[in-house]
Amino acid sequence: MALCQNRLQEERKQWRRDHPFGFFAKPARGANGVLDLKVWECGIPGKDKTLWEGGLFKMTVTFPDEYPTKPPKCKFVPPLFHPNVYPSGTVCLSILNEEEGWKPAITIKQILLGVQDLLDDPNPDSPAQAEAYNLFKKDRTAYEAKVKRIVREHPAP
Amino acid sequence: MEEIQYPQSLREVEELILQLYQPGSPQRVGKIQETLQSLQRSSDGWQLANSLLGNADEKVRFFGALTFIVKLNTDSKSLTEEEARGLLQNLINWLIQSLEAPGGPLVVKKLCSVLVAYFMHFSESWTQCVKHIILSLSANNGVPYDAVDSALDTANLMEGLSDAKLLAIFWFSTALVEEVGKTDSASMKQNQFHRHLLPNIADIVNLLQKTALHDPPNLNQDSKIRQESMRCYQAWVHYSHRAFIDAEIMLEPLRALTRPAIMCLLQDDLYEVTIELFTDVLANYSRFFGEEDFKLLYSLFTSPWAQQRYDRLIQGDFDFDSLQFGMFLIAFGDATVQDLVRNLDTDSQASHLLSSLCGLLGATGPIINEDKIFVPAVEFWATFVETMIDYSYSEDGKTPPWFQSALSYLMKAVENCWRKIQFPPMDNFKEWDSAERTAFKDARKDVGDLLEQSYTQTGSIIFSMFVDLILRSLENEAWAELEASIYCLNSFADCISSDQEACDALLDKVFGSSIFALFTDPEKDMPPRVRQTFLDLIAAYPNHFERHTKYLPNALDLLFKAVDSLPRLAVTASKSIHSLCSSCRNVLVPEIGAFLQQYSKLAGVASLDSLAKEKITGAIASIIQAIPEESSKVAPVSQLLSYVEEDMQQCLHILASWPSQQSQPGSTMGSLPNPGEQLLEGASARCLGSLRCLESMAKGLQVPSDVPVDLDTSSTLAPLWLTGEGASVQQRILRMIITALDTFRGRGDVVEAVCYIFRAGFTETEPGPFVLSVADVATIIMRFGIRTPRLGFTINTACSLVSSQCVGSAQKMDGVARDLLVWVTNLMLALEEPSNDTEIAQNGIDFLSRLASKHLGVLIAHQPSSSIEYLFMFTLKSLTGKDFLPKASAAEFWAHLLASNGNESHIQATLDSMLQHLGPLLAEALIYNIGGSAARSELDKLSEPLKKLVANQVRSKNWLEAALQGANFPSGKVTDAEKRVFLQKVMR
Repeated sequence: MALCQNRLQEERKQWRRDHPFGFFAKPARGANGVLDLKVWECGIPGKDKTLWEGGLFKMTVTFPDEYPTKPPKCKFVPPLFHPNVYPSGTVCLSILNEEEGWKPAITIKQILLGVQDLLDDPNPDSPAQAEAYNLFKKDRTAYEAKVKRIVREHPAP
Repeated sequence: MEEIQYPQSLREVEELILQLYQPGSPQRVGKIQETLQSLQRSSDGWQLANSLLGNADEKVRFFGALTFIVKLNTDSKSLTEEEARGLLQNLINWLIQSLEAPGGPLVVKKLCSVLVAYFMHFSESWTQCVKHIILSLSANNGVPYDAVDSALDTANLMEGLSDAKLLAIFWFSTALVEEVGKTDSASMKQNQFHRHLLPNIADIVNLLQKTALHDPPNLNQDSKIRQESMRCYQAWVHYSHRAFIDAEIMLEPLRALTRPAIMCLLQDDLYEVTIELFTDVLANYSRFFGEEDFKLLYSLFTSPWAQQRYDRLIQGDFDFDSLQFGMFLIAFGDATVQDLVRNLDTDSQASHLLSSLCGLLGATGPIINEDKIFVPAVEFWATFVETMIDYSYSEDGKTPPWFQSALSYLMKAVENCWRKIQFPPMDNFKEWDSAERTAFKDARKDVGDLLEQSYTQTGSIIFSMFVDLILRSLENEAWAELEASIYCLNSFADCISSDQEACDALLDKVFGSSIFALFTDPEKDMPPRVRQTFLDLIAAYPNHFERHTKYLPNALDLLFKAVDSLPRLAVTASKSIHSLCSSCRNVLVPEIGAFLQQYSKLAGVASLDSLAKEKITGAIASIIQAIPEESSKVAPVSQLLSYVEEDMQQCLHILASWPSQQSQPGSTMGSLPNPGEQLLEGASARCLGSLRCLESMAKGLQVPSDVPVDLDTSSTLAPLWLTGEGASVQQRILRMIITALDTFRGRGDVVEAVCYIFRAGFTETEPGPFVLSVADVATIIMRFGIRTPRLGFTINTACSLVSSQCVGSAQKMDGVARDLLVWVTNLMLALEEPSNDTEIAQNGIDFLSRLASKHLGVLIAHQPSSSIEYLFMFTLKSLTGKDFLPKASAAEFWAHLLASNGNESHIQATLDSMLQHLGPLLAEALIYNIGGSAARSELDKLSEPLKKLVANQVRSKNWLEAALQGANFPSGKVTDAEKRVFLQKVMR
């Protein structure tokens, strides 16, 4: 538990000191304005020169008590139309999976950049929602049109 | 391409090396490199390295040193102990020779790296490496390592060493810890590097005390020596952090040198490396410093030296060294922030330091573009507020003595931020590159976060400050100030709930001022950004308008004007209109006529953004929803619908003109889309736009979830929309939908938009204009065939339909479900195999799942019996197929079916008898997966039907046993005993 808190404090410091453009990430504020270090509100911008450019997508990152031994859970709020995002909004990404690519050394910055990469480079081998997955596989033009509309609905400020 | 001859003699090798460093084609250089590398790796590599180091040319000698590194890293295991010892002496001898050879430091530095590489492989037998090097250099000969034990101590050995030799010793000592520090934890542990480095500490300290860290400073020593010495200290302190993290080793002797190190800050030639060291250690490893160090640093910050540097920075000198001072100050503030906060009322040094940190937010020059200290300083203040929060909560309810002073510093810091986040004049801003502009906005966001945090400490005082600033800048028409003030006020939107009344009164001051008049005055030439930020303010406090409706008309008027006249802001403004109308719907009911009139003007504007149109349609629909009398809704719904219909009409109109356009000559020339295509695109965009407006309208008309449902009125309301005066509205909606589908049969987005309209009605429990007759909806859905695009989504809509709570009798719904089942069955028959289209397969099976849980009777009674059999087999095929989504749906379907009980007796009896028949096949399909065919991630889904099978079917054990022993079991690796254990555990 203490390890989790210390690491999150450190992550916060590191993030403040150096974070990629257009992203945001901060611990959520509970009652009384006290920070809850284990829940972060983050924003992921679409990468330049991709379909997702110009959008900003909000994601909640929740850290378990066992963090950093166990990975955090990333959830788009509201759920995002994307082949690797579950209908609940949870992101399906190998580095976020304890049994696959998670390593305690992975930083929040790397996670958010990883999710940003995933936006334009979905992994068709692990579909998480049927709608986006099927459209991505069957009708790329319609998929792209839909992504563009979503970007318009979630513009970066 | 010319081949590289494999060299036959040393001379040829040397020539090749010289060629490598000469300009040439990349291909040739690559080839040469390849040839040389293979030579380096060969068994003659050791010999080659020695020969090359004897060469006169520096480049050749450099390559020789490099060859030693390659050999050490690839071949060190082949050396015997004896050979390794010999190699070490040899290497040191080369170092001594190179020191005497003419030329630059290149080869000497490389040889230091070679020795470090040697340490990485033979650290166990070379623990006192630093002393060994010093001893050898002082003897001017590579002495055997054993000689170290009987040698004088380092301080004595150093006497009389040349500057060149001292430099080499520092290069080696620095490279040594840097290299060890780079190793990963596993290799660090395995090689016990920490244990092998520790014996060198005393020697390092001796070295440092004789050079840069001499007390008092020895300014006569060559500046280069002292700089390298300081770098060496930096590297060892950095490494000591690693040693502390890995093994809690505190390198005490290094800590004893902090005092002379602080003195180095005052020496110009050591300033940069020293301040970097201190900033880094304060930020990452402040426990390295003791209480005395902090005292000394504190007094340093009040010295004239610091004042001078500080003034330079604040006056806008952002050169590297000046900025370094700022970062140093911030790092010190960060490391001592807890004391700073708590001693503020008693310690004058603390308040001096805090004033300085506050001043960093007010340096001269625009932030990002020039002022690079602002953003790190904002971070410090965020930490400061967090510390305030921590301590004020832990002091049991009483206001701590330091609180007032801390608060006044914070307010001062906030005011500085406000000044600095004001946009520079537009022309200047446009000249910045895009990274700078983004960073500027990011910095504003950081300030926004700081404000939000500060609110928890200041309460409404800070809110009031920005309200005053708004009023003041309004009066002066100071646009940049006004924009920044409004921007700051927006930051508190999510946190004022505890001080609602006070903040409401303050907001009233803003909205009750001349602000609306100013923003609607066409004469005022304000930058568009100010307008946008003001629109954000309206959007940030929608609840305020709900409580203080007197400003609502002004706000909406402004928003509508923005939609009309500022295309760039149309979408943002329409979103605000939507949120205001939706949350203040009850108050706005009397204004519905005015809204419809406003919209009638806007709807005709061809350039109006389609998203804005959708939002406004939805906004108005939500006001209509709030009209208490259901029958009074008919007229406004009808009117709003007519605007949507207009778009559809225009779409048809465009299409009607198409054939004549197409026949124009030359229409297909060039790379531009021909006019026909353009027209078609325009028409379909209009059609889509109007369908999406319908969806938005349907959503607006949904009863908000916080409104209680009156169950009694439902039955009396139903006729109003289905058969009464509202029926014509429903007919018009259906007609539009059918027109759209007829016109754009092949377009998936049209099909999808129609489905969304239906879905908006499904969630309603009370009748309404978009709660269409389920039979009508089903009829439309059933028009779609196997070739319809987005068919999966359509079937999914059918799923929602059969689970919806729409009005109408259960029997009627059963009938609709029966018809839809026939439709789904036909689609699945046409599909033949689930793998032919996994989307249709998956959604089809989902439909069966819904029936299994909501209309089991319909599913069981499906005729002919061959047809139901086909469906069951289809789900089993999906279960054993390769595609995850249909497999997951099939697993869910079976879990539903197996768990179904408590049905009417004849239904239950039929189901039970079916399951007796299907049980063995299902068991086989599940075991096929669990036995090895399924991916690990699929097992969660697949275990559900297995659990249900075991819990609900008495014969499940036999079925599973047969499946485990059967010919279809996918793996030969599982033994009979393992299968038995599995079965036993599953059945428990």
